[in-house]
Amino acid sequence: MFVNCALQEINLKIVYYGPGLGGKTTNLEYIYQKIDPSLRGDLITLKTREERTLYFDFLQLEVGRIKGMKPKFNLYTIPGQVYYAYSRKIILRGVDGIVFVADSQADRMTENLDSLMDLEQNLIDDGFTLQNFPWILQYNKRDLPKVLPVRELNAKLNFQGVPVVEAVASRGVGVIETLKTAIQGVVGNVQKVI
Amino acid sequence: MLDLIEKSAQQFMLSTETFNQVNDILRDLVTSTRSDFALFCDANGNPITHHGKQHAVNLSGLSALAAGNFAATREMARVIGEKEGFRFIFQEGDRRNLYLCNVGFNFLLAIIFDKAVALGLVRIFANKTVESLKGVLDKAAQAEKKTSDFIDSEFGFLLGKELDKSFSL
Repeated sequence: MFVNCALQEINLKIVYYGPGLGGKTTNLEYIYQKIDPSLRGDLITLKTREERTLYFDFLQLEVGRIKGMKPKFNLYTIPGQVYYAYSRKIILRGVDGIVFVADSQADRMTENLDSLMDLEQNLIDDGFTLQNFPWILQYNKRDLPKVLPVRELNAKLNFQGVPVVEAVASRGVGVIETLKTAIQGVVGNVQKVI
Repeated sequence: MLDLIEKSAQQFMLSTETFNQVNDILRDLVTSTRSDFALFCDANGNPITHHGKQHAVNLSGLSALAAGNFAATREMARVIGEKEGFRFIFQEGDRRNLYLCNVGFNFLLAIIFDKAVALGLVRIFANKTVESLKGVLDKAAQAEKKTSDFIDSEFGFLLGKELDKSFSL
């Protein structure tokens, strides 16, 4: 979190984490389309030629002034593929909250677990753990066949009992709810830390 | 006291006084080098302030990219065994050049200048500017804990209402 008193701004960083092709970029694209253009910046995407996230996507959102301060939310996605480990580490720097976008399909559970372990290791490297950090889970792709029931996803991924949002990011279902839940988690954590 | 220069800071606050001092330093830099503009941002990609003719440049986007680029370059240095990292990044364009360097551990300075301006000149003044900024930031760390003045439970409640308004579809 960075507070600029002169400009009366509070900058908070939220990172969308999760396995490759899980729908992280789709979340940001939907938010970009749906929010009033006066409240957001450009959506910056650094993609490979195959339209996969190479480094990160970035979108800045603003809301109206609160108690004289203007909150700004900097949303980032990470590249999900295993071999972009360095990029993920870099993007996590200074993060205030995390949305873990899990793929609900049964055959993607190994990738979900690998990515979650990778996240935990990166947090530990920065002096945090999943226990003491604000994060939430989004179970994406709920419209596809062969998805695991939420109970089973919770048993495998939600060992912390963090908030869960079911989503179909490609149609915008659950996307805004995910963002609001993450922001409230970040603000709640800031209050706790202070 | 929080060390803003040498240690990674998860949270920090910049006072109006420090902000104004940083602005003065950037103005001197832009004037001395005849650069188009200078941007001061944090290493997490948050723009802090700028001076000069930035026209329609998306400063939040530029800051995010500068931070990502610099962090990636630092990792590249580490991979090839350059423990202290590279001192700066220079990108040459057809009309404009970009010079990017770190200010301690938590901040970055980006200078955008015309091709007609000599890189050596920019480099000399950038080095001086970095030292001046470090001096200002060193004194600035005390204010860091005052976020409790405004981020309280009421803040959380009001933010929820603002978010609902922003996303009323």
